[in-house]
Amino acid sequence: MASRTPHRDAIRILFILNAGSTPQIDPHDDAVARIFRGEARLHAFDFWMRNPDYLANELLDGYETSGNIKYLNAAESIFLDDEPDLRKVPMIRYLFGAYDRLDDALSLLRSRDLVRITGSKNKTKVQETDFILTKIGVDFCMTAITHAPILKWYSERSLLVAEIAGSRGGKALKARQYQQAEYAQTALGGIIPSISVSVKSRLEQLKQNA
Amino acid sequence: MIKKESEWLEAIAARANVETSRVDSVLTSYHIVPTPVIPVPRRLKLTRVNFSGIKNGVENAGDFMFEWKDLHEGLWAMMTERNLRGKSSIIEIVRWLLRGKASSNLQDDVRSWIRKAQLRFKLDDIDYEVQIECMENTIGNLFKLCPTATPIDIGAFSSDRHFELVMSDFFLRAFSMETIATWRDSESEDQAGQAIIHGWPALSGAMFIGTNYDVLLGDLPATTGTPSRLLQMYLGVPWVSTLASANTALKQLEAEIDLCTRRREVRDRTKQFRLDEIRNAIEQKRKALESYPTDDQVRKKLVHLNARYKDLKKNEVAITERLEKELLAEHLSNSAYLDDRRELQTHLDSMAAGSVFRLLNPSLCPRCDHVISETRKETEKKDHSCSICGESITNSEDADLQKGELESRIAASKAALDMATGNREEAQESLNALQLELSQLAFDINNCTGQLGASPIREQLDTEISILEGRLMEAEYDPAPEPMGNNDLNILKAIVTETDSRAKAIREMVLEEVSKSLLAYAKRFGMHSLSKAELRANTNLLLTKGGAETSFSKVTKGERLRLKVATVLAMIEVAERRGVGRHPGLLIIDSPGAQEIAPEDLEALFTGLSSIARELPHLQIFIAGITSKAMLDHIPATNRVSASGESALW
Repeated sequence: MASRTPHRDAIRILFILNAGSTPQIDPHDDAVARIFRGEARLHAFDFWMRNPDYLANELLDGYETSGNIKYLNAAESIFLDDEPDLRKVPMIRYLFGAYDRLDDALSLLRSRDLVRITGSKNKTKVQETDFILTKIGVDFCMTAITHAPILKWYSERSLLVAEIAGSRGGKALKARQYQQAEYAQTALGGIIPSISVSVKSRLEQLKQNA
Repeated sequence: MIKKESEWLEAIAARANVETSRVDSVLTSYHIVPTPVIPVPRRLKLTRVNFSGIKNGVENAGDFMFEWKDLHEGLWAMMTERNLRGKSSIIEIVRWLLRGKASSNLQDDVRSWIRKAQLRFKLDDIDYEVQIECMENTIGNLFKLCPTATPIDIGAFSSDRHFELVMSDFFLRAFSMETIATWRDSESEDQAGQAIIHGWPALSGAMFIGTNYDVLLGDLPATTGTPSRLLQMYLGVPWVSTLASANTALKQLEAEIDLCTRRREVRDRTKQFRLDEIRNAIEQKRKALESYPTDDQVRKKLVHLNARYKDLKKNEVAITERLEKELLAEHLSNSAYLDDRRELQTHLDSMAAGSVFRLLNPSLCPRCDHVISETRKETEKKDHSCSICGESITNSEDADLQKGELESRIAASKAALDMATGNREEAQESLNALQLELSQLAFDINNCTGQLGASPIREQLDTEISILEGRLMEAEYDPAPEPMGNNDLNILKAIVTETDSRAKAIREMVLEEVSKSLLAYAKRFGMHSLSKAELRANTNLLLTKGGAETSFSKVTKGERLRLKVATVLAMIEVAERRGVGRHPGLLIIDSPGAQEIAPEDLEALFTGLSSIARELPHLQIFIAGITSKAMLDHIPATNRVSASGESALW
């Protein structure tokens, strides 16, 4: 019953786009509401959405750098809710330079005109893929939570990911994620191994010192 | 006499419940001589005193000679007008010659001046003379004088000691006196007391009244017990010396038994202490020995321990394998459980996402971005074919079914996980317990191994225990208890009781007579306020004076002097009347006026004495003193030697 449903992926992507975008005004098109810049950035956001243990690790880094207790609490609740086990959605190819195809998810979003895929191009090549969120898309984020509260997790998690990613671009985020994963691979073996155990103990350590 | 003696012996034997021969042997071994009868009194009179020598270191140094002869019954006096003019020395020289031993009252210088001395005396009707020459030693002879023939030498002597023996022997036999034994308690705990034998020097004390009026009779303190013995002996109470020796022997034996008992107790305590000490030591060694088991025992134990260790090791392998399996099972069931939960989460999310998306109808083609025409939308509504791709649109009705199925899977995998966890924990606990036992076993084995080769220590301990046990036997050895003379003790007690009962009756009677006579004499010596005198056997003299009760030791010195004289006179008088008693009738009184005696008391004494001397015609009394009217009045001039002014008697 492996259910990789495009709807779930679509919802996840929609919330990522909403959380990681900035308001956008198109004088020629009233429907445009926000813009999410960079496909690599989207994938980087998605990595943290799909690997809560790695996100927790990054939150602890964030706590250590900023001293913001919110990050520590967030990391803690990830483990309390068994997220590293329950919310993990494997994405093996990501670390090998290829993205999981999000076409199905994006098609779902596009067919309802929630998202528009655009980009800056030079003469021959797409320089950067950006994602326009329509007003319908933005509204739909609200409607979805109201209609199915279970989806609230996606909304909140995407905001947290956006916050921890900050102003970093897709390249920087990916480099950071590679670094984390490679380190874990060396230590634990396997591909994107679970780092739950080590992050959990790091969390305990930091909590004690807090 | 023989009859009285054998009757006494039988009475004692009956009292002690033994054979008479046994009593006899006790009497012999303790030198107790029966004295059932007292011979008639004998009379002693001095008839001549003379001595000569050379004075040294004094004013009138040079040769001297003193002679006082033709002495007989009656009062005699030695008088000087000054003190230290030779009166007391005459008395002391007489005493020396009578006793064979000088008293400590004889001045050393006087004694050193004497070269020759002679004393002639009459015992009843026979004359004797003792002659001494003082060279380096005192040498001399005691002669029996016969009016018709040459003197018979009845005792020659060549030393002070010898002199004393000769005189003692002579007089004790003459008066049929026995030595008086008294008991003196020891002052220290681990020594018995001792018996003191008072011979002639002590017995002769009854003839002299010196200047010490502490005791009624003789010159030894009352605490020695001598005065009371003297009293009874001179009174002529039978059995007195027997009683004295028996008492002394009894006290001696009791003291010996007591000392023996005390020593035995000390020895027993010491022995018990020693025994405890050795027993403790043995106990400790035995414990030590127990802590060193034999190699054989250790090896047996090791075999057992090793076997157990091997068994447990096998178990450990088995349990470790089981634990690994349980761990794997737990891991697998945990994965399944997580998978199931993740799948449920995915399912729920997907269903939610799906339902949300169904709120929106596609408005354009995601492929070409063309807006979907109204016609297509109408068609979709009508025959449920997708407005974009034309495929049939069916709501997934089995989503809830799937959800239920997923939930039951989760329940199953959770149960499996719980069970696996339980099994794993059980295996882990078994392994822990096993490993604990193994490490204890390893420790025991190590200990046991260390105990191997302890046999030299065991042998050493065995030897030490044997030695200690030997010592214990030695210390436990109890020599047969020394004969304690308990049997003798009973017999001696019987002798004392029997003898005392015999002596007592006569003693009481005689004492009463003496007391009466004493009171009469004391009154004649001017003690008119005296209404009663009671002489006790212990020489206590109880008095009633002026209606008040008092005693010898409480009255004045003048009264004591007169009571002393009265006592001796009373003894002589009663002895004379009864025809028994030993006082020889000679009394020598030294310096009666020296000790703060009132002149009127002396006057009374002399008045009394001069009349008593006439009543007791065989009495001979010598008095030495400062020339006084009383003496001059009552002592005839023929009976006096005197020196006037500064001059001395010799």
